[in-house]
Amino acid sequence: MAGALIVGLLLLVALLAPVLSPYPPDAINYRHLLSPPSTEHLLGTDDLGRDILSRLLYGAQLSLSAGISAVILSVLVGVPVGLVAGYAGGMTDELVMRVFDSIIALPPLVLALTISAVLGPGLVNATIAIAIVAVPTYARLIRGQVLSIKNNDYILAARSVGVSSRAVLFRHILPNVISPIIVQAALGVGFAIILESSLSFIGLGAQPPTSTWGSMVQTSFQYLELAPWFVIAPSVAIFVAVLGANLLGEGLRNFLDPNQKKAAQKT
Amino acid sequence: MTVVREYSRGVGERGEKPLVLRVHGLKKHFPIRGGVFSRITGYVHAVDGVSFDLPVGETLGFVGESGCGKSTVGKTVLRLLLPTAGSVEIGGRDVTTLSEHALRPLRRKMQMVFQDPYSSLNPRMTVGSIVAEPLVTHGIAGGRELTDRVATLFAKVGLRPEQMTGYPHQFSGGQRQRVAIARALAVEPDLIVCDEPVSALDISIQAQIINLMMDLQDDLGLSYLFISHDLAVVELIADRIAVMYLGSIAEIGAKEDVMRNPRHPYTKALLSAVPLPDPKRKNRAQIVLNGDVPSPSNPPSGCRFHSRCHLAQERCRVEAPELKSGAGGHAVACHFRDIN
Repeated sequence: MAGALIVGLLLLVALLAPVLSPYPPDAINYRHLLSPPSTEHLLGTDDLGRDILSRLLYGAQLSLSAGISAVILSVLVGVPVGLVAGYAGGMTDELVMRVFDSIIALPPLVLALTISAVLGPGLVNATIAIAIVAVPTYARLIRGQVLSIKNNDYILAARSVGVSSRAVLFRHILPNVISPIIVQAALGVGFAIILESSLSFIGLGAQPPTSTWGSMVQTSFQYLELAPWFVIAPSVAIFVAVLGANLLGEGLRNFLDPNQKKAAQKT
Repeated sequence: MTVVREYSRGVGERGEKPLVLRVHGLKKHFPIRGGVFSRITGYVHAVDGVSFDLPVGETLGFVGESGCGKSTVGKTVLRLLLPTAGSVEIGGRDVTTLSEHALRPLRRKMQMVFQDPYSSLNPRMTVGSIVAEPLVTHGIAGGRELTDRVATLFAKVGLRPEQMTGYPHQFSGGQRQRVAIARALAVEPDLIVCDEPVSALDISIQAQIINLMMDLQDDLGLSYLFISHDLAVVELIADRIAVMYLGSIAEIGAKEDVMRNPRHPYTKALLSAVPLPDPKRKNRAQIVLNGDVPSPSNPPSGCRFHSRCHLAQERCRVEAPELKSGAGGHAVACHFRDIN
């Protein structure tokens, strides 16, 4: 489980940022503008002389929490909607799915850009925009799962006993369809981090002086020739986080696959 | 219950026993959708006018080929499907018009055992909680009493109460079917609809399950609506047998009458197709049906069986035969019921 290790480490680092950071993230030092990595500043300093390592560690808090909360938001909306649409079928299903189809028809970055532009710049609004963009993915995924199991005899058996629709949905259907959602959510965190970075890069995400990895890349871009090390640190951080999320997602997929589980229990 | 036991294997004296189930003119048509905006382009006549009675403590076997509508009858009786027309009376109350809410208390009286014990048990629930669910749903038991009731049910169907904490995948097909039976018994129903309950099991296990079901019937005075395509199994468990063809009953009567003295050419064909483990009886007259079952979305005119019947005449193409009752409630839907 390399993914779990990477994600766990990143989360730990983000939580321990105040302890691990050698400097306060917004301590300006005009004597060390854009200085290259040294023993004093391990990853160098930025255009205002702030320590890049410290900003990276504090940025991890915001980047990761934005990514994770966007995913949680979209799961909280997408899963119940997809569950109900798939189970109810008919007009409800048609209506919900056509709305989601139209959301999916737009490129995710363009849509996220538009929504956060409408809501106004800021990390919270960017997170909401990312969540909205991702909702249809979860709703469609879970709807497909519901459709594939809702005609199983155990659903019929529950109905023939007189179990209420809500109990059928949450006791019989949800536990049997949730594992692909967990996988998708792990993968989705990586996607959300990229989207948030993109939005911050454009200037619609975190506003100065707070910085996420995305906004650090944006600032560093202006000094690409002067201080190339400045752009590398946040880019690598984004890369590692996304890689970790994807590996975690794939690891979960293998872990939750009932066939593999059965094989594991036999041995 | 003693009264019921006395009658439970009796055949013949019809009409005196109270009915647990009375179905009249039951129809279920499924719409076929296609084209623009999913317009309804036709109907599958899955069940087309089925009537029968089921007295307390008796077993009515439904036999027929795949797609003849026997499972749909079972599901419609339990209101898992809404009937298109007709009435279903459970203990004297018509359930076809009740709302889902009003139906809930009546669901205690009727339960179902499904064909495939691999798909009828929720893989994420322990078998104990599967059996407990009906009790919880109807507020019959809780806490300590619930565990005791479930343990009793497990013992009743031949499982060990310690097995309650296991998940379905840890059980064999026969054990799973026992769990499914325990779930059906939990609410102490009067009627259990068994939809091919043994056809997914090994032959040796089939016998165990059939014996269990017969013992339970004797002990609890249950009535079964037993759906199967296996004539040997139905002959073993049923008191009366209904033969279905393309959505309607071709012949219905006491087991002995239908099996030994079939009057409908379709029943005869079915019975002649049953392999006999007797090499000497090689030259038995076989009726081999030609062609396939016609599509239930466009059933043949007149008698539904005329397109495959060796006796068919002009009249059969035009006029649908009535299901006419004869001696001992033996009813046959054929114009030539008295000739052959």
